[in-house]
Amino acid sequence: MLKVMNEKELKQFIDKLNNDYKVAAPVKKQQGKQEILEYDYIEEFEEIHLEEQPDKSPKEFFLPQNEVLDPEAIAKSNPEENKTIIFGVRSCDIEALRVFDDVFLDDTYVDPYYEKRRDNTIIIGYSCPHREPTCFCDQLGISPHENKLADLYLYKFDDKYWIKSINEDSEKLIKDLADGDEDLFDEKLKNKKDNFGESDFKFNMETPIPEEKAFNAPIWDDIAEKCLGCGVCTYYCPTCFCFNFFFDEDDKENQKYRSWDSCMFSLFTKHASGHNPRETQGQRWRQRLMHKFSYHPQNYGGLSCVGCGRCVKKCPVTLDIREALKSTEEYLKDEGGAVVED
Amino acid sequence: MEAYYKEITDKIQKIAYKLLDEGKVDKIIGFGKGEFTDEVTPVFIVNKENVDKLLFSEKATPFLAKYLLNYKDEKVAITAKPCETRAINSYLSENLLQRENLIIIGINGCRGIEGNTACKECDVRNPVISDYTVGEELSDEEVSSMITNVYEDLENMNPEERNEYFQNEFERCTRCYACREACPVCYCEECFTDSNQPFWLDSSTQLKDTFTFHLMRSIHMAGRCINCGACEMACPENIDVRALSAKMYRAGEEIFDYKPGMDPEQKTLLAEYDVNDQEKGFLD
Amino acid sequence: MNNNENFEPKIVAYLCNWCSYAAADLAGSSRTQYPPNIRVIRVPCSGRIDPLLLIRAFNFGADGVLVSGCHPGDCHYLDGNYYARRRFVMLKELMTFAGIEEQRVNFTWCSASEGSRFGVVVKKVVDRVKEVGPWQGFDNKGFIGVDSSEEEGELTGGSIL
Repeated sequence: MLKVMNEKELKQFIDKLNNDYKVAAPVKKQQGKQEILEYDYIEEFEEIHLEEQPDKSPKEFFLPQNEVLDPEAIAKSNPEENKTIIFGVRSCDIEALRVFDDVFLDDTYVDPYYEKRRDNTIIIGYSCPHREPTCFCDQLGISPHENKLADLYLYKFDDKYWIKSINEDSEKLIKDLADGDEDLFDEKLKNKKDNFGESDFKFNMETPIPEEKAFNAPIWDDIAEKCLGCGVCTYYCPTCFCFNFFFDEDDKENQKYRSWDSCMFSLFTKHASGHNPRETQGQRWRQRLMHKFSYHPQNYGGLSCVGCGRCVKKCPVTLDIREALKSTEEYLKDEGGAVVED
Repeated sequence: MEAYYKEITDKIQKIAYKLLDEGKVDKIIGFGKGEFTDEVTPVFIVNKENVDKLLFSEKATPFLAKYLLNYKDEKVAITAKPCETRAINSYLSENLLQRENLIIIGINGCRGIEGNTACKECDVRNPVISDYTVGEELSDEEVSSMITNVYEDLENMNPEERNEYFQNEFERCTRCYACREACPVCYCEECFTDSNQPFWLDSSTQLKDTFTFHLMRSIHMAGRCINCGACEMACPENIDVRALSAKMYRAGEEIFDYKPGMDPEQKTLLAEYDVNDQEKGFLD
Repeated sequence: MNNNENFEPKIVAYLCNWCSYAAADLAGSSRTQYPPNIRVIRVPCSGRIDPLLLIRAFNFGADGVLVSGCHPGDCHYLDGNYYARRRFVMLKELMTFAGIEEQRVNFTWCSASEGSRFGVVVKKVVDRVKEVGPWQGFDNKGFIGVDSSEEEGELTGGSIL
């Protein structure tokens, strides 16, 4: 189903959704010296800002940074009262949910906290208006223009907003809007795709990356030489999900909590014996890259990096994952054996 | 200004080429451009053919001196801003590095790094230790004329208002530890935050824990913090991380007439005492 | 700050073993009357006090802290209290700058013979902390009237479930 609106109608659409659901969207916030763009619940349509890629992905809505693990509360909770819509999510962040679904909705164990949130959230995607310098999603097979994993998808051409439903459930949200001309839409979308531009970085490796060859490559110490070992890349990455458990000492009920952890921290893999299998930053960087481009695809079939570029933007020393991928590709090409497509 | 930085860049490249050509060093740590972005990023040069990657400009935000701790036994050269030379002095005074293994290319007359509020308070704009220098020195008068008091408003607030300010700032801390990792004087092998026995604080991002983390980190750096601003530049959430440590820097200066990092023989503030120290704030 | 008449502050007192703890002991055996609000922790020397110990005391619910050592020059370990003196000056500067009321953080020197003076010191500290009321925590935010737990609850998914 394809519908079209002008801006006023879009405002009415969002306001109506806000009555029945909790709507979250990218909003601008003043933080210290700079403004930041992140997802938060909105009251008014005017708060929404769609022009730039948000600094934070909607990861916190599905995997909060701190969470009480209370199985009884989860079993009893009634999520119907709190259905959420996340509006204006870009293709990279939507693809990241596929990665989370792989891991948290695995056949062997379903994470009940994630499951409840995922089932009760509707995603309205937004077609990226322009490429940012750090974006490389299209190099990884993800289209910035649309993504089938969202429930609804919003496109802006000139001053009209087009909205498409992906499945039957989402159709009922837009059925009252004016119909859109399919041919006109296709033409405008093609025009946008043709004028979108190319990324400087080209990704030519076949994935999963050959595990043994890449693991034993001597490139990792050089790649990670300037890495500080903080957790910024992992915390802002929409697909990173590692966490740690703790008991809050102030909590009278002594409940178990989980909070984000990062493989970039030096003590991430330290054993109780004192041995640390990943002692150098090069080994830790190898783990990060291989997990995203080799281990996760081997285990689940899709990449665990979505090319959003936030790790590059936020890194204090601008360690670029694209440069790391390029080094890996060059090494594998020189070594032969790995299939590298042109 | 651009021409001035271009000149410095050329000089740095020439010195670097000479050092590698003559085999005086194994590696040069400097600033360079990223391949796919315009941001300035640390580069590590081992071949003299690659010295054209080195540069210096007002966008040179990373703090390089800390990388020296990874190469304690190798001969390295480093392009160092004046604040970084102070960090190097701190390392030498704490016996973390050997002077013979270092070649320091100091940047004279540093006009400050874009976006770094610590540069507005900086009063050490010429290198305090170096083997080569590039750029024009700034005289004492010029340096004092460039100083502004960034925290004047914060100092004039009453304690409740300051507390509120800090709570607002630390509430968005995600405990990524970018500030700790970027800081040149934070180099403990096991940080107190990761310590299990004794256990100091939770790893959650609740405000009581993030506030405690920043408070505890600042007191650990008292007397060693050189007020370089690496912490606030590294923070991805634009939190005013430097405020507490800057207070320690000012307190060291005002109460004990102490400036860290000015001399490689200098001991840190809290590693020394004077029998006539004043007892500001004690019960009488 | 409220001035609750019934407020009895909890004060954690770190006393050095050789002078201040002996002073407290002397105060006890001389039957000196002094407020019962302090909880004493004996340490070998005031120089052993890590500032983290004092900050942790607040996280555990103390309303104030007191650290007492030998007089400068009389330290059992010769110069432990000299190091402590500098450390405490810096810590007090930091804590008052961070907005913790300066009446909560107290340092003093008390020799082993000053038993009655110890009682006076404790009374003074208790009065100071009573002035400023109970410690509300590092996340009190009472000033701007926002319930921080509600804000956090939104993003920690409390509202989705």
